[in-house]
Amino acid sequence: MYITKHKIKLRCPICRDECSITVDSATLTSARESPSGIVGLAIPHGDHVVIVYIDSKGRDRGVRAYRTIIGETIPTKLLRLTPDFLQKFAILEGFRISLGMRNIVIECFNEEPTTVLSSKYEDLTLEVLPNELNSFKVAAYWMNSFLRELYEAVHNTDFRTLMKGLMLLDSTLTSPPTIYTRNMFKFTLLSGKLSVVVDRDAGRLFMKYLDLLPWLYKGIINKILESNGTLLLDLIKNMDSPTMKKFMESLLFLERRGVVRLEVR
Amino acid sequence: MRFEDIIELLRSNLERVYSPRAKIAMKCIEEIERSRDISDPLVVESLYYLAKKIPVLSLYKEPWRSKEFRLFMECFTLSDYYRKILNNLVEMAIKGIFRRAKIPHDRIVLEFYPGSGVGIEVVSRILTNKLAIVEFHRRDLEFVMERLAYQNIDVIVYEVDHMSIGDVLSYPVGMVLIVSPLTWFYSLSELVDRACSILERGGYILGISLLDNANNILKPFMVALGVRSLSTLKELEILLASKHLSRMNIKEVGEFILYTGVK
Repeated sequence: MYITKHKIKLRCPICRDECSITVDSATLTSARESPSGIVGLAIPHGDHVVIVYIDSKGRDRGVRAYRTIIGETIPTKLLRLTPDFLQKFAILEGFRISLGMRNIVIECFNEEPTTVLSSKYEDLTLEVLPNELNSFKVAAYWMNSFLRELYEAVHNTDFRTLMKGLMLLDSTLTSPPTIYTRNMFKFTLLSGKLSVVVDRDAGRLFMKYLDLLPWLYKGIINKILESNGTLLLDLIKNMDSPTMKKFMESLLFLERRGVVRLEVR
Repeated sequence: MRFEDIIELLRSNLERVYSPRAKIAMKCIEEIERSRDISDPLVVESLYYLAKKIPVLSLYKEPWRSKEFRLFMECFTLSDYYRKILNNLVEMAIKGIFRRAKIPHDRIVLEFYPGSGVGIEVVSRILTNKLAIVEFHRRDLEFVMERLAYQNIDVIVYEVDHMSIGDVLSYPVGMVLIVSPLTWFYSLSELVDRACSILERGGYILGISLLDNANNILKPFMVALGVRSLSTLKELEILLASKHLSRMNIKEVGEFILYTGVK
């Protein structure tokens, strides 16, 4: 188990907000084992990420903020997210994702995991620690599906959309795979580049018979139909993982009927 | 909204389209009785939408496989008008088939190109046999599976076209449905022929075909989109008889011909 050492207070270089981060023994171990002798502790901060570099003695060796992280030059390979980030997840109690050629590993664990579910695709590796599991086969399907879509979208994915993708994985991990949800990860991982464009005529027609489709989430459908021109990421950024899954399912539902289309910005 | 206004919109949009299909559709418009009234609001709205989208749809090689057509099809097939047609077909079948014969439990009910899935959904409420669908187009498969999943209807999926179904079938077939609007864009003769070839002896065929009638409100729309299976009552009778189907029941209802038969 990680033992809490101390807290470091810092100011975000971009938004100037004050925040704090906990440095635990696992962080110190990671720093000791890292070739650079430091480890980055990441704090998601709105549209950017603050990274505090910590050495093996637990000292603050600099603070930087990044807009995307993936594709940017970062002085350390391992980025650790503080465990409170896991509050956004329902099933995952930890994850580690290695972006291979991007030379970055992002991890977030409450406790040092003894067993993880692991999936690999090309140069990408994903390890997750779920608190429940219906079937290994189902979990493997979703993890593989996530990695495949990430592999395709990695050049257009940033830290925030990657985390959103993981949140979506969190809400799907125990659900049976369905053919009609196959683009969910793709659109989520690209959500920072896609705008929702609503076809008014199609939307008008769809609303005429929406009541005949009682399984749809009307509030979410209405939100999507009112979001013409909005960046997809802005629509999902504050959602928890179950809501995001419902949102993405609804979005795919409307996209399949031409009620909305997703345009690259 | 009046039907006359929808037809006028269709006509003006077809004038902007340069295709042989558009020209034939214009001729259909000239023949149609404009004062005809359509009372079902979803039919009115779906046709209005289709009339608006004709210029875009005309650009597609297969407009019936487009998102726009999917939206139209869902709205149209959920209308009371279409549901009554479907119920009428089922009633025909109940009178002609189910009261006298049951489909053995080891045989499946299979639908060609189910579109929105409303057809197989109606049959699933009556029969307890395993259900199956034939659809090779991935996005249309997603479209129908979504509805069936939400309705808790389990189906076997054959992701092939109707011509290849014989190669992949894993169960004996007791009934074939040819009822969705997507089937209007395939040769009816081919569909019926294929249905007869996969049906077990004593198996049933249930279909809804578009009626080839000058006053069919759907005709100009579907002609503009490339319909392939318009037929008259007589033509359909000849077609079904040529397949040596017995206990045939064929009748005109509104814009459609409903038919049932036994192999």
